[in-house]
Order: sequence, then structure tokens, then C-alpha cells
Amino acid sequence: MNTIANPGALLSALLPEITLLVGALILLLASAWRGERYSPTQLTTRWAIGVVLVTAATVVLAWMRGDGATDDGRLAGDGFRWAMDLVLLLGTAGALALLDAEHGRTRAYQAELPVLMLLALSGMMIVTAARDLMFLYIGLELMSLAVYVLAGANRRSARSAEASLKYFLLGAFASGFLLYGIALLYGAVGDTRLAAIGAASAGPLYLVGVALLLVGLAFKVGAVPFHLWTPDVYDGAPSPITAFMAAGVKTAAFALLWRVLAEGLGPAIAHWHPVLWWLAAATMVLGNVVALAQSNLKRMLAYSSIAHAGYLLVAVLAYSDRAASTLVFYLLVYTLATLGAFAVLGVVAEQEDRPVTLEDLAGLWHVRPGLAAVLAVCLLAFLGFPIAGGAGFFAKWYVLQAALASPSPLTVLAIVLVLASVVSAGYYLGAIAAMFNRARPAEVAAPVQTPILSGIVMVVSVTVLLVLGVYPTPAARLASGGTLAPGPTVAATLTSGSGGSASAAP
Amino acid sequence: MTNALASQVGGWLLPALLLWPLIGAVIVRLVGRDVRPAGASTSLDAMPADALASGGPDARVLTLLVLLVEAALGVLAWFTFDGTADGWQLTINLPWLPDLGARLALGVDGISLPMLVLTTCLMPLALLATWRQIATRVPTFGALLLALTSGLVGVFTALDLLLFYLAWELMLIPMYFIIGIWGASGRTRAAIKYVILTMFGSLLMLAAIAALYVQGGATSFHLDDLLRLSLGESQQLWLFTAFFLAFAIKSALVPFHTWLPDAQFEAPVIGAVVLGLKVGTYAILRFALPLFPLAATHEVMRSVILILSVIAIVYGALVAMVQPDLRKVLSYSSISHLGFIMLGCFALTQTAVQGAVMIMVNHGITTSALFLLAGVLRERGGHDTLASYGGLARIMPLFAVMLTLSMLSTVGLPGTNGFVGEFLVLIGSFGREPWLVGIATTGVIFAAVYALRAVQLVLFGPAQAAAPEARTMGDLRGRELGVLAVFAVAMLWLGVAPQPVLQRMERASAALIARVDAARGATTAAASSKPLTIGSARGSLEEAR
Repeated sequence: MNTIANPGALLSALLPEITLLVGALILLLASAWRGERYSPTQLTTRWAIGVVLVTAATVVLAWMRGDGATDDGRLAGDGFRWAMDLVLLLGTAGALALLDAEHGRTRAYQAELPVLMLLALSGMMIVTAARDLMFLYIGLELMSLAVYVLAGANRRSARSAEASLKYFLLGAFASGFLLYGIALLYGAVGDTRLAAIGAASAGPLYLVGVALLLVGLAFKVGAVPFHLWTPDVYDGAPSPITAFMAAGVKTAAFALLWRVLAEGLGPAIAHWHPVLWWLAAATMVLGNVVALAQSNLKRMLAYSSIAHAGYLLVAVLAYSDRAASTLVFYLLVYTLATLGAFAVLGVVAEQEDRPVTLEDLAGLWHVRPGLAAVLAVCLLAFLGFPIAGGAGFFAKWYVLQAALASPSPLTVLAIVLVLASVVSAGYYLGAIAAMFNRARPAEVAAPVQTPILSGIVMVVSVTVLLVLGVYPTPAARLASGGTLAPGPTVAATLTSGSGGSASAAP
Repeated sequence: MTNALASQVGGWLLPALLLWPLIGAVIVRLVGRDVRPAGASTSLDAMPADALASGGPDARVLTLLVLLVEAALGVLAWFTFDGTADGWQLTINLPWLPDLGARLALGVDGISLPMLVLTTCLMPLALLATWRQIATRVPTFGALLLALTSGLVGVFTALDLLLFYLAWELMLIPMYFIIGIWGASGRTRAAIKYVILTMFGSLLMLAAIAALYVQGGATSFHLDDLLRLSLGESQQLWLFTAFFLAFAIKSALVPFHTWLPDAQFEAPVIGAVVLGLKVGTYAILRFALPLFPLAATHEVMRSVILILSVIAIVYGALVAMVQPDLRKVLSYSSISHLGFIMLGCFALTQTAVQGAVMIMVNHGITTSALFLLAGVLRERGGHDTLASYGGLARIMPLFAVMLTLSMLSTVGLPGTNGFVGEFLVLIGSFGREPWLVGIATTGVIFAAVYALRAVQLVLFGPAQAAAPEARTMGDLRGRELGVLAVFAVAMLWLGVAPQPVLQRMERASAALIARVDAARGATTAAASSKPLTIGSARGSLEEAR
């Protein structure tokens, strides 16, 4: 029964993660081995993409064979894990491609960076698999430590170093909350497994633990009022790393949040549901309203990502089997749109260490119609616009549907979501208007030639977005394979707990 | 004959109408050649974008050909339609998103058919009339125009609510770019205002669609299935409010009208013509009324809407009287006419509903003609400020004839198409709302004031035409004259013989009123005036002449 006593079972349950780690370590050695004249960064980046693809193959294989779960219930082998893993692998592969393109232009990055991305990815994949708070914490820290370093990837840039330090200090603080919460929960329950925590009754110690845990998790997903690091870090980090953080870290954080809430914190739902309700509402409103005031595009996308965390929290609050597949689908779409948008920003940014502003986009359509079209599609996908924004519409639709079909319908939150989306149209359309409606200013230089890998990322993400925008069924089916339903008793508590959230939120 | 035709084309006609412009859009964008009249565009950065398409056929001609085929398909639908049959015709119902319950369900009835045919026929005419006005990036323009056409066709033919929503939003993006790229100097602001206001409404509608589907317990989005749901009155009121807001904003009902004058003023002429199509009020008749009959007949709700309609009629007309530009006059005239349409929709008698649809069609024709004329004025004189013209009747006689005729049709002079719809709305609503109709009638008088003021300032009066450039303004020429002649014939023909249109919409409007009355129940149904049959409506029409 004990996993440690049965290394074979553990090995098979963690096969994709082990594949990834082995690949990462080999690349780490190889990057040290090769001399500077071979441009080791590009080599390791390209090989890292290969490692990601191999890992994706093992994930698909493990999903098809039904592997992954361990007998002691510390690791999950469910569709939620594998579907989230695939989204994460997609995001990482895209971010690696963008890093390669960016390095080809700036030569600013070390060969270890792609390896760090792989290590962060393995942390994320452990997070999606874990059903034990200790596993979750280890995965989360593996991811976070690598990302702290990645945020400071550009050693020539003071802003990058600042972003890294900020992220590290605040992240360590949040990790402290998280760990403290885990310790209290362990003290209350006597077990770190989510199944045991979900079966316990919620005493005072338990509730304090839940509160601390939620603070840590809200920091990781970037929910208001724990969002303040997001704009600075997104702005300071190099574009490919920002894309990696926006797509990967957010996906992993939501996988973690949902796993913990669905499997572990059911008994305390009456307590956290109203809190999370207000967090979701505040996150959607504040994220979108503040984004309106940004002219720096990366800061704008950072606030937009905060707003998206709010939308995703609405799906989490629906707390039904639909919520899980909604999360997977939404994060898939969000990952694709993020990759496409940052691919364009990487090309448009003419100099490093200067923020990309709306001025850089002015009249882009007149000089580079392709880039403008890609960015327009991605922004419209963020906006959730049908047809032209592709699958973004269905992502939002599923969230609305999940919210309204929940055991206790989140009608008010659905209306907040809709109105917040209208606000978001202001800045997404502002960027589109700058690209299409204005003439190209003479003093703004034309963007550089699009690197091949950036081009591939753009074409793939836009194509997939547009195809899924007309026919989302395959991706929706894939996502619904990722069902991770809260237990039936928990669903019943939601109905009683919703009294609290309804009264708290008239 | 009709049945044989229907069996041959019924299965593919509507999907073809929907998809053909999209296919055409791809073709135009890929192989169409940009038009670059000598000396028109010297900006260097305009070059590379469409350099790809430097060879190949003229994009304008291609777009026109695609639109002509589309119009032919629309006319085919008109003659295939059987006015004596109930229910949807030319239906198609294919699986699309099985997990969601959305289907590719298309069909037309007597309410959507006139709008569909009007749209498909209007587009090539409008393109022909504005032939030289779009001179840059024509392949992109053509593609957007065709995508817009497809969205309009989708709105008028969709029977699946989710498909309708997609088509509804599909209209928005091409229109945004048409205003935003080819518009006048204030284009960015107008375009963003238009999109954000419209999105505000349509996102509320999206939430309402989700609520209707999830909480109403529907299994599909097909209109027929949704009509079978039984919803409580308070639920209907909420959902109706969301739907109505979306449609009222789109149709520019006072007080949601402010985007329309801006957008129509900044947009290129063909964009203004498309903005004048009454998609919002059509959607009210198609979805809001039949889905939520209890809310539509709710005393407070109905009173608010009717009062807003009458305010729109009077306010729109009064504001139109003082506008300096011809296009603004036309926009506010649209806002005023929209009040008549709303009045007709919510009077909830068959005659009034038929009148409302007639105004939608006729106003589409008349306003298009007027916007095209304003475009002619702008093309020649550089602007359309009323006060700076004058005495044009002498140097542009054909233009003067067309402008006068179209303006008289706007006023609703008997014998022109404008008369038919307004008259039907007024007599159809009078039995129920005598006071409101009384006030609304003053709108007709004000209409005469603003229309004749515009005519007088432009055509007659002190000859500002003394200005040298005005003397060189040529009259309507071949292409313009041909297009406007078609409009003139349509205006007079529909004014004298509206029966083909009325006959086709008879069944559908009767069914709509029957459904609303049935939902309202016996108590109020007894109070409702005896339903006027089309025979009696036609009789009173003849009598009035």
C-alpha cells in the first residue's frame, strides 16, 4: 500500500514527470558542456521543445492506459490531471519557441533558461497530479523557484531584476501562508491527503488553516487583493517568460485551487464560498477597470490576466462537475491567446528594456497586416467575441453556463462577469483601434522580420482558436474528460452554504 | 410551380445565402486587385499591405459579382416562399454542437423574408452607387462587406438562438473596421462607441440566453423548442429586459440612440446604409416577443416601451429639424421612424405588426436612397452641410427629383412606400392606445418640416451655388442614376402595390399575435380589439387614399 515501499508503482504513476525531469537534467549537463561558440541557448531551447513533445506523448499514453493513480491516494490518475498537463505542455512549448525567437534577436539569454522552464513545468505537472498537500507544496515550490529566476532572465535589464526580486519576496511570503495553512490543516486532521481532509469536520483550527491556504492560493492565481505583484512582474520579465507565466503558472495555480477545493475543502464550503465570491467579483471589476488606464501593453495584459483569473474563479465557484471541464477549456483558450499575443509583442518591441506601448502598435496594420490580424484575433479571444475571436466566446459561454447551472445559481456573479466584459472591450478595442484606425507614425520604425518560430506560434494559435470558435466540440470533449467533480455530499453543502453567499452578496 | 421550386431549392438555398458571401470574402481578399486611382494615395505605407494582390481581377468587380449572385439567391427565396403556408419555410436543421444542443437551424417566415430579400438586394445597389468612394485597400473592404452580408443573412434566417447570437456579433466586427478604417475624421471614437454600446446589450443578452437555456431546462437552442418552455412571469421579465436592451440599443431606441448619428456620420456611405437596416426590431419580433409574451404584455413594461417609442418619434423628428448636415437629419429621421416601428411591435395587433415590418422594409429602401444621395453630394461638394448648398435644383435636376421623391417617402406621403407602414401602424395601434397614437401622429407633421427644410436648403433657396465649385457639380450619371432609378421604382411600386409583401407576412404576423394573445390568457384577450384581418387593413388603406 505504501508508495515508498513500492517504487515501481510510483515510477509508473509519475512517468511523464520523470521523463521531463530526466530530459531537463540531461539538457542542463549538455548546456554546461558545450562552449559558447555553439550558441548553447538555441540548442537547449530547441531540444527542450523536443523534451516537451516527448513528455506530451507519455501523457497521452498514460491517459489512454489509465495509469497515474497510486493506491494510497496521494497521486491522481484522472482526466483532470492529464488534460491540465496537456494545456501546460502546450503553453510551455509555445513559450520555448518564443524564447528561441527572442534570443535569436537579442542574444540576451543563458542556456540554462529553457532548462529552468522545464523544471518549472515539472513542478506544475506535479501540482496537477497531487492529491496530497505535501506533494502540492513541493510541486508548487519547484515551479515557483524556477519562475523567480526566470523573471530575472534578462541580466542586462534592471527592470527584469526588479521584477524577479519582487516576485520572489512576495511569492515567498505567500508560500509561507500556504505552508502555515497546510500545517494547521495537518494539525486539525492528522493527515495531508485531500481525501482525509475532505472527510474531516471543520473545526476552528481547520478553518484557520483553510483561510491561510486560500490566501496563498489567491496570491498564486493573482486574485484581487493579492494581485499587486502581477503587473510589475509581467512588465519586467522578458516577453517569452511573461507568456510562460501568464499561461503556465496561471493554469497550474487554477488546477491546484480546484483540486484543493473540490477534493479537500468541501466541509468548509459555507465559509470559503462567500469569501471567494467577493474575491471573484472584485477581481473581475478591478482587473478590467485598471486595465483601461494602461498604455503599456504588458501591464495591460497583466491586468487583463487578473480579470481572467476573476472569470475563472466564477467557474470554480460554480462547484459542479461542469466547473472542471470549463476550467480546462478556458485555460486552453487563454493559453493559446496569450501565446499569440506575446508572440506579436515580441516582434513589435523594437528595443529591449523599453515597454511596448500603444504607440508601438499605431498603424501596425498598414505596415504588417499579418501581425495586426493575429493580435486582433487574440485580443478578441480574450474579450470573448464570437467568430472573430474564435474559441474565446465558447470559453466565456461555458463559464456563464456553469455559473447559472450551479446548484445555487450565481446569477449576480454572471451579470458582474458580463458587465466586466463590456469594460474590457474598452481596452481590447483601444489596442485594435490603434493598430487599424491610425496611420503609422513616421518616427516609429517598422517591426523586425518575424522569426520563424514566432510565426509558427502565431499561425498555430490563431488557427486553433478560429477553428475551435466554429466547432469547439473536440476541445470541449477533451476538457470534459478532465472532469473532477466534488463529492455528492459536498454539492449538498453548497446549496446550504449558498445561503451564506447569497445573503453576503445581495 | 411554387412547390416544385421549393422542393428543388429548399434544402440548399438558405445555407447558400449564408455561406456564399463568406466564400466570396475569402476569394475577394486573396485574388482581388486593389484599385489605386492615379494620385489618390501617395502614402508609402499604404503600399505593401495589398501588394500581394497586385495582379488578378478588380476587387470591386469581384465583390459586386458575389453580391449580385447573393441578390439573385435572395430573389429566388422570395419567389419560392409560399405565402399561404404556416410555419418556417426553406428550413434546414443540421447538428452542429451536440454537447451544447446548438444546431445549424435556418428558416424564414413572412417576417424575415422581406428583410432578407431587402438586405441581399440592397448590398449590390449600395456598392454600385458608392463605386468610387472606397479607393484604398479595396480587397479588404470587399471581404469585410461580404462578411457583414453573411452576418446579416444569418441574423435574418437563424432559428437557433446560439447561431443567431453568433451572426448578431459577426455583424459587429466588419462594421467596426468599415467605420474605423474607411470612415471620416472622428471614426475611431464613433466605431468604438458603436461596438461597446452594442456589446453591452448583446453580452446581457448572452447571459440571458444562458439563463434561458440552463434555468428554463431547454434541451436545444432551436426556437421551436425554446417556445415550448414555460417560464414564470418574473423570470420572463428579467430575460425580456436583457433581450430588449440588446435589441433596443442595436435599433437605436431613445435613450440608447446616441451611437447612431455618430456612426452614420463617420461611416462611409455604404456603412451608413447597412446601419440603417432594422435588425434590432426584427429581432424583437422574432425572439423577444414570442419567447417572453408575459413580459411583453406586462402593463408596466409595455407602457414604458410605448412611451419611449412615442418620445423617440417626437424627439427624433424635432432634433432632425435643426441638424446642419444632411446625414444627421437622416439619422434622426431614422430614430423617429424607429419609434413608429416599436409602437407597431408593441401595440400587439396584427395590423400594427404588419405595419411595423412594412416600415422596416420601406424605411430601409428610403433611407438607403437618401444616404446614397447624401454620398453623391459629398462626393461632388466635399461635405453635406445643408446651409452651404442651395439652388442645386437648377444644376442637378435629376438629383433634385430623386431627393424630393425620397424625402416625400420619408414623410409618408400617400402613394409612396413610406405611407403604407406608418398608416398601418397608426390604425393598428389606435384601438389600443388612442392617446399615444395621437401624439405619434404629430411626428408625421414634424417629419414634413425636417424633410422639406432639407429639400429647400439644398435644392432651392438663395443660390449658394454662386460658389464656383458648386457650378461644376455634375448631375447624377449613368451608374448612380441607374441605381437610384431602381430605388425610385421600388418606392413608388411598394407605395401603390404593397400586397405581395403584405400577403407574404400575413400568416407569420397572425401567428405571432396569436401566440402573444394566448399567453396573455382569456382576461386580457377579451379586452383586445378584434384582430384586424389583412383584408380589412387593406380596405382601410384603400379608403384612406
